Amino acid sequence: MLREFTKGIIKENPVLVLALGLCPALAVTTTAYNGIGMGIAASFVLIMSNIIISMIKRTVPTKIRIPIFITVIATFVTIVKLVMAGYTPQLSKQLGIFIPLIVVNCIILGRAEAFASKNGLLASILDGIGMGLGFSLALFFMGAVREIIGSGTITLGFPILIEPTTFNLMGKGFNPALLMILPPGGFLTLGVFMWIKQIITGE
Amino acid sequence: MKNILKLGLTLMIYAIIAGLLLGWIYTKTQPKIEQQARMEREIAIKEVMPASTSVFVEDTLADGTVIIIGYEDEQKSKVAGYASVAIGGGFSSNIKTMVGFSPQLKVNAIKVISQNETPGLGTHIQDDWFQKQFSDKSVEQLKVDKDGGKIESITGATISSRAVTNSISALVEKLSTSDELPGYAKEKKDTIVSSDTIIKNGVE
Repeated sequence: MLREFTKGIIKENPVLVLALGLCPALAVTTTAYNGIGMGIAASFVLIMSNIIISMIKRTVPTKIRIPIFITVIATFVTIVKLVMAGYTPQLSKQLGIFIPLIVVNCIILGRAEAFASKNGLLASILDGIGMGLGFSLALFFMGAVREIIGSGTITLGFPILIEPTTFNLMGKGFNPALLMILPPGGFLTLGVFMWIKQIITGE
Repeated sequence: MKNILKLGLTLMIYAIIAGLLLGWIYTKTQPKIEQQARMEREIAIKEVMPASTSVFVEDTLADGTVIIIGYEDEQKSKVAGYASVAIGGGFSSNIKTMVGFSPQLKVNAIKVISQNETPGLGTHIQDDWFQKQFSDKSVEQLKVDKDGGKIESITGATISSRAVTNSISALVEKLSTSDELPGYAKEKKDTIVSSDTIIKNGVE
Protein backbone atom coordinates (compact mmCIF):
# COMPACT_ATOMS: atom_id res chain seq x y z
CA MET A 1 0.00 0.00 0.00
CA LEU A 2 2.83 2.36 0.87
CA ARG A 3 4.12 1.94 -2.69
CA GLU A 4 1.06 3.82 -3.97
CA PHE A 5 2.30 6.78 -1.98
CA THR A 6 6.04 6.69 -2.71
CA LYS A 7 5.84 5.89 -6.43
CA GLY A 8 4.67 9.41 -7.31
CA ILE A 9 7.66 11.12 -5.75
CA ILE A 10 10.50 9.77 -7.91
CA LYS A 11 9.78 6.50 -9.68
CA GLU A 12 6.60 7.68 -11.41
CA ASN A 13 7.00 11.40 -10.87
CA PRO A 14 4.19 13.00 -12.89
CA VAL A 15 6.35 15.76 -14.38
CA LEU A 16 9.73 14.08 -14.76
CA VAL A 17 8.67 10.55 -15.72
CA LEU A 18 5.05 10.50 -16.85
CA ALA A 19 5.50 13.92 -18.51
CA LEU A 20 1.99 14.93 -17.47
CA GLY A 21 0.96 18.45 -16.51
CA LEU A 22 3.88 20.04 -18.31
CA CYS A 23 1.93 23.15 -19.25
CA PRO A 24 1.66 24.53 -15.68
CA ALA A 25 5.10 23.09 -14.86
CA LEU A 26 6.65 25.23 -17.58
CA ALA A 27 4.42 28.28 -17.27
CA VAL A 28 4.29 29.13 -13.56
CA THR A 29 7.72 28.06 -12.34
CA THR A 30 9.25 31.52 -12.65
CA THR A 31 9.61 31.76 -8.86
CA ALA A 32 9.94 29.05 -6.22
CA TYR A 33 6.84 30.32 -4.43
CA ASN A 34 4.71 30.14 -7.57
CA GLY A 35 5.86 26.54 -7.92
CA ILE A 36 4.81 25.73 -4.36
CA GLY A 37 1.48 27.53 -4.76
CA MET A 38 0.62 25.81 -8.01
CA GLY A 39 1.79 22.45 -6.59
CA ILE A 40 -0.37 22.77 -3.48
CA ALA A 41 -3.44 23.92 -5.42
CA ALA A 42 -3.12 21.10 -7.97
CA SER A 43 -2.42 18.55 -5.21
CA PHE A 44 -5.57 19.55 -3.37
CA VAL A 45 -7.65 19.14 -6.52
CA LEU A 46 -5.91 15.85 -7.31
CA ILE A 47 -6.49 14.36 -3.85
CA MET A 48 -10.12 15.49 -3.70
CA SER A 49 -10.92 14.28 -7.21
CA ASN A 50 -9.22 10.93 -6.51
CA ILE A 51 -11.33 10.54 -3.35
CA ILE A 52 -14.62 11.39 -5.04
CA ILE A 53 -13.92 9.39 -8.19
CA SER A 54 -12.88 6.26 -6.31
CA MET A 55 -16.09 6.54 -4.28
CA ILE A 56 -18.44 7.06 -7.21
CA LYS A 57 -16.67 4.76 -9.66
CA ARG A 58 -19.42 2.11 -9.47
CA THR A 59 -22.18 4.56 -10.38
CA VAL A 60 -20.34 6.05 -13.36
CA PRO A 61 -21.30 4.53 -16.73
CA THR A 62 -18.15 3.87 -18.80
CA LYS A 63 -19.49 5.79 -21.79
CA ILE A 64 -19.78 9.11 -19.96
CA ARG A 65 -16.97 8.72 -17.43
CA ILE A 66 -14.85 11.52 -18.94
CA PRO A 67 -17.53 14.27 -18.68
CA ILE A 68 -18.30 13.16 -15.14
CA PHE A 69 -14.63 13.17 -14.13
CA ILE A 70 -14.23 16.63 -15.65
CA THR A 71 -17.31 17.86 -13.75
CA VAL A 72 -15.82 16.62 -10.47
CA ILE A 73 -12.41 18.16 -11.25
CA ALA A 74 -13.84 21.47 -12.44
CA THR A 75 -15.91 21.73 -9.25
CA PHE A 76 -12.85 21.39 -7.04
CA VAL A 77 -10.83 23.79 -9.18
CA THR A 78 -13.55 26.42 -8.81
CA ILE A 79 -13.57 25.85 -5.05
CA VAL A 80 -9.79 26.34 -4.93
CA LYS A 81 -10.07 29.48 -7.06
CA LEU A 82 -12.74 31.03 -4.83
CA VAL A 83 -10.97 30.13 -1.59
CA MET A 84 -7.66 31.46 -2.94
CA ALA A 85 -9.21 34.74 -4.07
CA GLY A 86 -10.73 35.17 -0.62
CA TYR A 87 -7.86 34.09 1.60
CA THR A 88 -4.60 34.40 -0.35
CA PRO A 89 -5.31 37.28 -2.76
CA GLN A 90 -1.62 37.82 -3.51
CA LEU A 91 -1.06 34.25 -4.67
CA SER A 92 -4.34 34.27 -6.53
CA LYS A 93 -3.11 37.32 -8.44
CA GLN A 94 0.27 35.77 -9.16
CA LEU A 95 -1.11 32.48 -10.47
CA GLY A 96 -3.95 34.20 -12.28
CA ILE A 97 -5.08 32.22 -15.29
CA PHE A 98 -3.22 29.05 -14.28
CA ILE A 99 -5.69 28.09 -11.56
CA PRO A 100 -8.68 27.59 -13.91
CA LEU A 101 -6.27 25.68 -16.15
CA ILE A 102 -5.86 22.99 -13.47
CA VAL A 103 -9.12 21.63 -14.91
CA VAL A 104 -7.29 20.52 -18.02
CA ASN A 105 -4.14 19.47 -16.17
CA CYS A 106 -3.52 15.98 -17.50
CA ILE A 107 -2.20 14.67 -14.18
CA ILE A 108 -5.59 15.00 -12.55
CA LEU A 109 -7.67 13.44 -15.32
CA GLY A 110 -4.84 10.95 -15.88
CA ARG A 111 -4.89 9.75 -12.28
CA ALA A 112 -8.70 9.68 -12.26
CA GLU A 113 -8.76 7.55 -15.38
CA ALA A 114 -5.72 5.35 -14.73
CA PHE A 115 -5.92 4.92 -10.98
CA ALA A 116 -8.86 6.23 -8.98
CA SER A 117 -11.51 4.70 -11.22
CA LYS A 118 -9.94 1.26 -10.74
CA ASN A 119 -8.74 1.29 -7.13
CA GLY A 120 -10.16 1.60 -3.64
CA LEU A 121 -10.53 4.76 -1.57
CA LEU A 122 -7.40 4.45 0.60
CA ALA A 123 -5.14 3.55 -2.32
CA SER A 124 -6.56 6.47 -4.31
CA ILE A 125 -5.91 8.93 -1.47
CA LEU A 126 -2.33 7.69 -1.14
CA ASP A 127 -1.88 7.88 -4.89
CA GLY A 128 -3.23 11.43 -4.89
CA ILE A 129 -0.97 12.57 -2.05
CA GLY A 130 2.10 10.93 -3.59
CA MET A 131 1.47 12.26 -7.08
CA GLY A 132 0.64 15.69 -5.67
CA LEU A 133 3.84 15.71 -3.65
CA GLY A 134 5.89 14.62 -6.67
CA PHE A 135 4.29 17.36 -8.77
CA SER A 136 4.82 20.01 -6.07
CA LEU A 137 8.45 19.03 -5.48
CA ALA A 138 9.21 19.08 -9.21
CA LEU A 139 7.58 22.51 -9.56
CA PHE A 140 9.31 23.87 -6.46
CA PHE A 141 12.80 22.83 -7.58
CA MET A 142 12.19 24.02 -11.14
CA GLY A 143 10.93 27.34 -9.79
CA ALA A 144 13.90 27.67 -7.43
CA VAL A 145 16.50 26.99 -10.14
CA ARG A 146 14.83 29.29 -12.66
CA GLU A 147 14.35 32.08 -10.14
CA ILE A 148 17.91 31.94 -8.79
CA ILE A 149 19.49 32.01 -12.25
CA GLY A 150 16.87 34.18 -13.94
CA SER A 151 16.24 36.82 -11.27
CA GLY A 152 18.99 36.26 -8.68
CA THR A 153 16.42 35.89 -5.91
CA ILE A 154 14.47 33.14 -4.22
CA THR A 155 10.92 33.54 -2.94
CA LEU A 156 9.92 31.14 -0.21
CA GLY A 157 6.63 30.73 1.58
CA PHE A 158 3.64 28.47 1.94
CA PRO A 159 0.10 29.38 0.83
CA ILE A 160 -2.14 30.54 3.71
CA LEU A 161 0.41 29.53 6.41
CA ILE A 162 3.61 31.46 5.68
CA GLU A 163 3.78 34.82 3.91
CA PRO A 164 6.14 34.68 0.92
CA THR A 165 9.47 36.43 1.39
CA THR A 166 11.96 37.20 -1.36
CA PHE A 167 15.63 36.69 -0.56
CA ASN A 168 18.24 38.36 -2.72
CA LEU A 169 20.95 35.77 -3.23
CA MET A 170 23.25 37.49 -5.67
CA GLY A 171 25.22 40.68 -5.11
CA LYS A 172 24.56 44.03 -6.78
CA GLY A 173 26.68 43.29 -9.86
CA PHE A 174 24.72 40.16 -10.74
CA ASN A 175 23.15 40.30 -14.18
CA PRO A 176 20.37 37.67 -14.24
CA ALA A 177 20.07 35.31 -17.19
CA LEU A 178 16.62 36.47 -18.19
CA LEU A 179 16.27 33.52 -20.55
CA MET A 180 15.70 31.28 -17.55
CA ILE A 181 12.41 32.90 -16.55
CA LEU A 182 11.25 33.05 -20.15
CA PRO A 183 9.58 29.95 -21.69
CA PRO A 184 12.83 28.51 -23.18
CA GLY A 185 14.33 28.48 -19.67
CA GLY A 186 11.43 26.30 -18.59
CA PHE A 187 12.23 23.71 -21.24
CA LEU A 188 15.95 23.81 -20.44
CA THR A 189 15.32 23.33 -16.72
CA LEU A 190 12.85 20.53 -17.34
CA GLY A 191 15.29 18.76 -19.65
CA VAL A 192 18.13 18.97 -17.13
CA PHE A 193 15.81 17.77 -14.34
CA MET A 194 14.72 14.75 -16.39
CA TRP A 195 18.36 13.99 -17.10
CA ILE A 196 19.30 14.20 -13.40
CA LYS A 197 16.38 11.93 -12.55
CA GLN A 198 17.59 9.34 -15.06
CA ILE A 199 21.04 9.43 -13.46
CA ILE A 200 19.58 8.95 -9.96
CA THR A 201 17.45 5.99 -10.96
CA GLY A 202 20.24 4.63 -13.18
CA GLU A 203 18.21 4.23 -16.34
CA MET B 1 -32.88 5.64 -26.94
CA LYS B 2 -33.45 4.44 -23.41
CA ASN B 3 -29.72 4.20 -22.93
CA ILE B 4 -29.15 7.78 -24.03
CA LEU B 5 -31.78 9.02 -21.59
CA LYS B 6 -30.16 7.07 -18.78
CA LEU B 7 -26.72 8.46 -19.56
CA GLY B 8 -28.08 11.98 -19.86
CA LEU B 9 -29.90 11.74 -16.56
CA THR B 10 -26.81 10.38 -14.78
CA LEU B 11 -24.74 13.25 -16.10
CA MET B 12 -27.45 15.71 -15.10
CA ILE B 13 -27.52 14.42 -11.54
CA TYR B 14 -23.76 14.88 -11.23
CA ALA B 15 -23.97 18.36 -12.72
CA ILE B 16 -26.75 19.36 -10.31
CA ILE B 17 -24.81 18.15 -7.27
CA ALA B 18 -21.70 20.01 -8.48
CA GLY B 19 -23.75 23.14 -9.16
CA LEU B 20 -25.34 23.16 -5.73
CA LEU B 21 -22.00 22.65 -4.01
CA LEU B 22 -20.42 25.48 -5.99
CA GLY B 23 -23.34 27.78 -5.26
CA TRP B 24 -22.91 27.16 -1.56
CA ILE B 25 -19.14 27.75 -1.62
CA TYR B 26 -19.67 30.90 -3.70
CA THR B 27 -22.04 32.46 -1.17
CA LYS B 28 -19.55 31.59 1.59
CA THR B 29 -16.47 33.06 -0.07
CA GLN B 30 -17.99 36.02 -1.93
CA PRO B 31 -18.20 38.39 1.08
CA LYS B 32 -14.59 37.61 1.89
CA ILE B 33 -13.47 38.23 -1.70
CA GLU B 34 -15.36 41.53 -1.83
CA GLN B 35 -13.92 42.56 1.51
CA GLN B 36 -10.41 41.79 0.22
CA ALA B 37 -11.02 43.91 -2.87
CA ARG B 38 -12.39 46.81 -0.79
CA MET B 39 -9.50 46.65 1.65
CA GLU B 40 -6.99 46.57 -1.17
CA ARG B 41 -8.63 49.57 -2.82
CA GLU B 42 -8.57 51.59 0.40
CA ILE B 43 -4.94 50.72 1.05
CA ALA B 44 -4.08 51.60 -2.54
CA ILE B 45 -5.84 54.99 -2.27
CA LYS B 46 -4.02 55.83 0.95
CA GLU B 47 -0.70 54.78 -0.53
CA VAL B 48 -0.91 56.91 -3.66
CA MET B 49 -2.44 60.08 -2.17
CA PRO B 50 -0.14 62.88 -1.03
CA ALA B 51 0.79 62.45 2.62
CA SER B 52 -1.11 65.55 3.77
CA THR B 53 -4.51 64.03 2.93
CA SER B 54 -6.85 63.46 5.83
CA VAL B 55 -10.34 63.32 4.29
CA PHE B 56 -11.23 61.18 1.29
CA VAL B 57 -14.33 61.87 -0.81
CA GLU B 58 -15.41 59.71 -3.72
CA ASP B 59 -16.87 61.49 -6.71
CA THR B 60 -17.98 60.61 -10.23
CA LEU B 61 -17.24 62.91 -13.14
CA ALA B 62 -19.78 63.51 -15.89
CA ASP B 63 -18.06 60.98 -18.18
CA GLY B 64 -18.31 58.28 -15.53
CA THR B 65 -14.72 58.44 -14.25
CA VAL B 66 -14.64 57.76 -10.54
CA ILE B 67 -12.17 59.96 -8.71
CA ILE B 68 -11.24 60.25 -5.09
CA ILE B 69 -10.60 63.76 -3.87
CA GLY B 70 -8.33 64.16 -0.88
CA TYR B 71 -8.70 67.18 1.40
CA GLU B 72 -6.29 68.36 4.03
CA ASP B 73 -8.94 69.27 6.59
CA GLU B 74 -12.42 68.25 7.69
CA GLN B 75 -13.93 71.46 6.22
CA LYS B 76 -12.75 70.39 2.75
CA SER B 77 -11.28 73.83 2.15
CA LYS B 78 -7.89 72.75 0.84
CA VAL B 79 -7.47 70.01 -1.75
CA ALA B 80 -4.52 67.73 -1.00
CA GLY B 81 -4.69 65.61 -4.13
CA TYR B 82 -6.67 63.25 -6.30
CA ALA B 83 -6.69 59.55 -7.04
CA SER B 84 -8.26 57.65 -9.89
CA VAL B 85 -7.94 54.31 -11.62
CA ALA B 86 -6.11 54.03 -14.93
CA ILE B 87 -6.97 51.02 -17.09
CA GLY B 88 -4.74 49.81 -19.88
CA GLY B 89 -4.78 46.70 -22.06
CA GLY B 90 -1.63 44.75 -21.24
CA PHE B 91 -0.21 41.56 -22.68
CA SER B 92 -2.86 39.20 -21.33
CA SER B 93 -5.18 41.29 -19.18
CA ASN B 94 -6.52 44.70 -18.41
CA ILE B 95 -4.14 46.34 -15.97
CA LYS B 96 -5.77 48.58 -13.40
CA THR B 97 -3.56 51.08 -11.65
CA MET B 98 -4.54 53.41 -8.83
CA VAL B 99 -2.86 56.74 -9.53
CA GLY B 100 -2.49 59.53 -6.99
CA PHE B 101 -2.05 63.14 -8.07
CA SER B 102 -0.96 66.38 -6.47
CA PRO B 103 -3.42 69.32 -6.74
CA GLN B 104 -1.41 70.40 -9.83
CA LEU B 105 -2.16 66.98 -11.39
CA LYS B 106 1.41 65.76 -11.13
CA VAL B 107 1.66 62.03 -10.46
CA ASN B 108 2.31 61.50 -6.76
CA ALA B 109 2.50 57.71 -6.65
CA ILE B 110 0.94 54.73 -8.40
CA LYS B 111 -0.08 51.25 -7.36
CA VAL B 112 -1.09 48.41 -9.67
CA ILE B 113 -4.29 47.00 -8.20
CA SER B 114 -5.26 44.31 -10.67
CA GLN B 115 -3.49 42.51 -13.49
CA ASN B 116 -3.14 39.05 -15.00
CA GLU B 117 0.15 39.41 -16.81
CA THR B 118 2.68 36.64 -17.40
CA PRO B 119 4.03 35.46 -14.01
CA GLY B 120 7.68 36.42 -13.65
CA LEU B 121 7.64 38.93 -16.50
CA GLY B 122 4.65 41.23 -16.74
CA THR B 123 3.86 40.77 -13.05
CA HIS B 124 6.96 42.86 -12.29
CA ILE B 125 4.83 45.95 -12.97
CA GLN B 126 3.89 45.47 -9.31
CA ASP B 127 7.48 45.88 -8.17
CA ASP B 128 8.43 48.95 -6.14
CA TRP B 129 11.23 50.10 -8.43
CA PHE B 130 8.88 50.16 -11.40
CA GLN B 131 6.02 51.92 -9.64
CA LYS B 132 8.29 54.50 -7.96
CA GLN B 133 9.51 55.81 -11.33
CA PHE B 134 6.19 57.49 -12.00
CA SER B 135 6.41 59.98 -9.14
CA ASP B 136 6.68 63.65 -10.21
CA LYS B 137 6.81 62.86 -13.94
CA SER B 138 5.25 65.32 -16.36
CA VAL B 139 2.95 64.18 -19.17
CA GLU B 140 5.77 64.39 -21.72
CA GLN B 141 7.95 62.14 -19.59
CA LEU B 142 5.18 59.59 -19.07
CA LYS B 143 6.31 57.27 -21.84
CA VAL B 144 8.43 54.15 -21.71
CA ASP B 145 12.09 54.65 -22.65
CA LYS B 146 11.59 52.93 -26.00
CA ASP B 147 9.00 55.57 -26.89
CA GLY B 148 11.28 58.40 -25.83
CA GLY B 149 10.01 58.89 -22.29
CA LYS B 150 11.51 58.60 -18.84
CA ILE B 151 9.90 55.33 -17.67
CA GLU B 152 12.34 52.44 -17.71
CA SER B 153 10.40 49.46 -19.05
CA ILE B 154 10.70 45.96 -17.62
CA THR B 155 13.00 43.66 -19.56
CA GLY B 156 10.88 41.12 -21.38
CA ALA B 157 7.64 42.91 -20.58
CA THR B 158 7.58 46.02 -22.73
CA ILE B 159 3.90 45.58 -23.56
CA SER B 160 2.90 45.49 -19.89
CA SER B 161 5.15 48.45 -19.04
CA ARG B 162 3.80 50.45 -21.95
CA ALA B 163 0.19 49.62 -21.04
CA VAL B 164 0.63 50.96 -17.51
CA THR B 165 2.50 54.06 -18.66
CA ASN B 166 0.13 54.96 -21.48
CA SER B 167 -2.97 54.38 -19.36
CA ILE B 168 -1.58 56.80 -16.76
CA SER B 169 -0.73 59.52 -19.28
CA ALA B 170 -4.19 59.10 -20.81
CA LEU B 171 -5.70 59.54 -17.35
CA VAL B 172 -3.67 62.71 -16.75
CA GLU B 173 -4.82 63.99 -20.13
CA LYS B 174 -8.44 63.25 -19.31
CA LEU B 175 -8.39 64.78 -15.84
CA SER B 176 -6.54 67.91 -16.93
CA THR B 177 -9.16 68.68 -19.57
CA SER B 178 -12.02 68.06 -17.17
CA ASP B 179 -13.38 71.21 -15.54
CA GLU B 180 -15.06 69.29 -12.76
CA LEU B 181 -12.04 68.72 -10.55
CA PRO B 182 -12.52 70.73 -7.36
CA GLY B 183 -9.43 72.71 -6.40
CA TYR B 184 -7.66 72.16 -9.72
CA ALA B 185 -6.76 75.61 -11.06
CA LYS B 186 -6.75 75.14 -14.91
CA GLU B 187 -7.25 78.87 -15.57
CA LYS B 188 -10.74 78.67 -14.09
CA LYS B 189 -11.99 80.85 -11.29
CA ASP B 190 -14.75 78.57 -10.15
CA THR B 191 -13.27 75.79 -8.06
CA ILE B 192 -16.36 74.77 -6.12
CA VAL B 193 -17.79 71.29 -6.64
CA SER B 194 -20.39 71.68 -9.36
CA SER B 195 -23.90 70.79 -8.35
CA ASP B 196 -24.32 67.85 -10.70
CA THR B 197 -21.53 65.84 -9.11
CA ILE B 198 -22.65 63.57 -6.36
CA ILE B 199 -20.60 63.05 -3.27
CA LYS B 200 -21.20 59.36 -2.82
CA ASN B 201 -19.44 58.38 0.33
CA GLY B 202 -16.29 59.18 2.21
CA VAL B 203 -13.63 56.50 2.01
CA GLU B 204 -12.61 57.10 5.57
